[in-house]
Amino acid sequence: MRKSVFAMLVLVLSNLLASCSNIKQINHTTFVTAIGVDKSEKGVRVYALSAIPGRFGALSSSGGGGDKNPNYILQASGRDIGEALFEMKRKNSKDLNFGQCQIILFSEEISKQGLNPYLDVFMRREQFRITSWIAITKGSPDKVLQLQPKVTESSSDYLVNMFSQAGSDTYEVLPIYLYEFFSYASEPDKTPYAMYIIPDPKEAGLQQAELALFNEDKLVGKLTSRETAMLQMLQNRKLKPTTITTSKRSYQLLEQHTKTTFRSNKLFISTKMKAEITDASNQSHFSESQLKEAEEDLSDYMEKQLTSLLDSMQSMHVDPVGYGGKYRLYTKSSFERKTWLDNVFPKMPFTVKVTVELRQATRY
Amino acid sequence: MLKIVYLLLGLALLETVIWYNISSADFISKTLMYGSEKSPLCLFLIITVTMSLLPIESHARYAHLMMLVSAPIYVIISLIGFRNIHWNYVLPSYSMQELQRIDIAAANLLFMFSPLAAIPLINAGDKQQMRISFHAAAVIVLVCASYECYMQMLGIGIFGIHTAQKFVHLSQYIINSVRVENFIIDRMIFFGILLWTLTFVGTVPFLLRMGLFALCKTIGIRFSKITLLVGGVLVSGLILLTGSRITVQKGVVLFGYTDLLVIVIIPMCLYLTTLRKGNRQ
Repeated sequence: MRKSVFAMLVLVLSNLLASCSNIKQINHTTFVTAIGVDKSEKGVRVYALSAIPGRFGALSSSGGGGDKNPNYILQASGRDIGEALFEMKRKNSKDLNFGQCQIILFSEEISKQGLNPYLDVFMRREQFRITSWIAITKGSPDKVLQLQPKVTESSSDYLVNMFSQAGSDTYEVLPIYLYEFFSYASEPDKTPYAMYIIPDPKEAGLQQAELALFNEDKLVGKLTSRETAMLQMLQNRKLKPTTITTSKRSYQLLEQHTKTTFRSNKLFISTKMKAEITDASNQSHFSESQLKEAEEDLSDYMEKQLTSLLDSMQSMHVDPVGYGGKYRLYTKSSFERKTWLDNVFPKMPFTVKVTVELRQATRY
Repeated sequence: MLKIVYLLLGLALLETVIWYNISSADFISKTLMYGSEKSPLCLFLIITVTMSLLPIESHARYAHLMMLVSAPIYVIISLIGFRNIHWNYVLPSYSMQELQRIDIAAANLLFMFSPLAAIPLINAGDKQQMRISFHAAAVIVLVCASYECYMQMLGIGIFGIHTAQKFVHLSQYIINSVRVENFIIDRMIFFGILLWTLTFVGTVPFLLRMGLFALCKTIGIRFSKITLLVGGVLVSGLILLTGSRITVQKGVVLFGYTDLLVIVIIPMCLYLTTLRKGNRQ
């Protein structure tokens, strides 16, 4: 009996100590689903896409979402993001919760100056997810945030669908998590990258057309969507549905594996691919010689594309593939990222070899 | 001589209790947004002192249950983390250039094995039972400590050495980096909080009990629930008055040196002395 009373007493006291009585109710909380960061006269301007739960189709009492935008944008300026967020909280009557924020957008202008000073707050505060996606916007991020796409109800949902690969997935979209960006910007092995998001008011949608490339944390260049697909092949990523179109026909990628080696201070890249012909309107059946010719067509095209991509990377002094890490292990000596990116990698000779195996494609 | 050994064992274990309490309060206050770490610290201290009053068999049963419940979840989440690993980051596994202070590295490493110091204090009565419980506890502690080493490796593989060294709670960042689509738990950090708390409740009260037992032996007073309660309250008061994550972080190297002494140096000295005596006879 005495033991039970003691246990009950401890339980009640523990609850009081843990501030269970002082909890914030869900209806007094604003849920931020995406954040945008831009430059301002004071320092930075932060935009927070905040959800109005009742206006979302699944949550509204009528069962439908309605025409009204289910989000509103809070904004505030500060010398740094921490100050801006505090300013935002002060202006808002409800408490701000960033636990649902899955997208962090940076403007192109701020990205050119370097993102490291702005990433720290998102990595440091436990409320933010380190698995949020980073993306870059041309112009101010609020244009992307305030757009209401046709397909989903919110621009943040649209971007989450795209980046999580839960919806449309392709080699032309290369998402990056916050912690990956933070790590690549500090580690000597690899340089970061992030997708460009462009609002398309005519289509009421968003475009992800290019990939921004960074040297350390500074935006230095970009790749086209086709080059982004090639980059993913060089990174040896898991296959995603991708169609490659040469001057002759289109091919569906079925399998690919890229091997990278260093020999005599030279970079050797060997890619093995399996593909099938998806679009050859004049032929229903391919003979052996025609298949061989198609294989050569695709391998020549791929070699040219990969060579062009590597040339671009060398001229931009960026290494999004991570050759630096492989070179560090190859040389087994002291390795400095600056030397690698500025002196070694841009001058390094390389050879690209692509071997293609085409599956016999018949119509029907 | 024996009293000095007991004193060192007691200090080593209480240092771990202090570190665990303050780190847990710091972690929980941040993840659950308490602001001040004092409220969770008070809660953890109450749990520690109350649970330490339970007999050693209860601790063993709880540890058993905890291993069954939390260990598989922890292992599964860490295995999912392997999807994000960069093997280049892990290699080379050993670099003399990065190893600038061997003593600090050894102290940091041994602090992970600090629960081993509690094992010589387990008194199971007859010799046969003592041997079994000693071996079982040693295996469990070694497995847990090795798992902690593995988590460090995983953290370096996911974030890279330069980034990983910036994190205070690296294993929680590993769990946080795991993203599983269409899973009922949206954020893995909630699992992290649960597992951290389970590990805390299963480990720290036992270490407090053993630490105070060693101190009682040093002073020469009878070990009872009253002494446990008084000792626990004193340790809690000390933690509440002086403890902060920054002071504890600074003390980790010192704690590691104490562990080096009680886990490696003293047992080796005792073994060599026994060997020498045996040779003489």
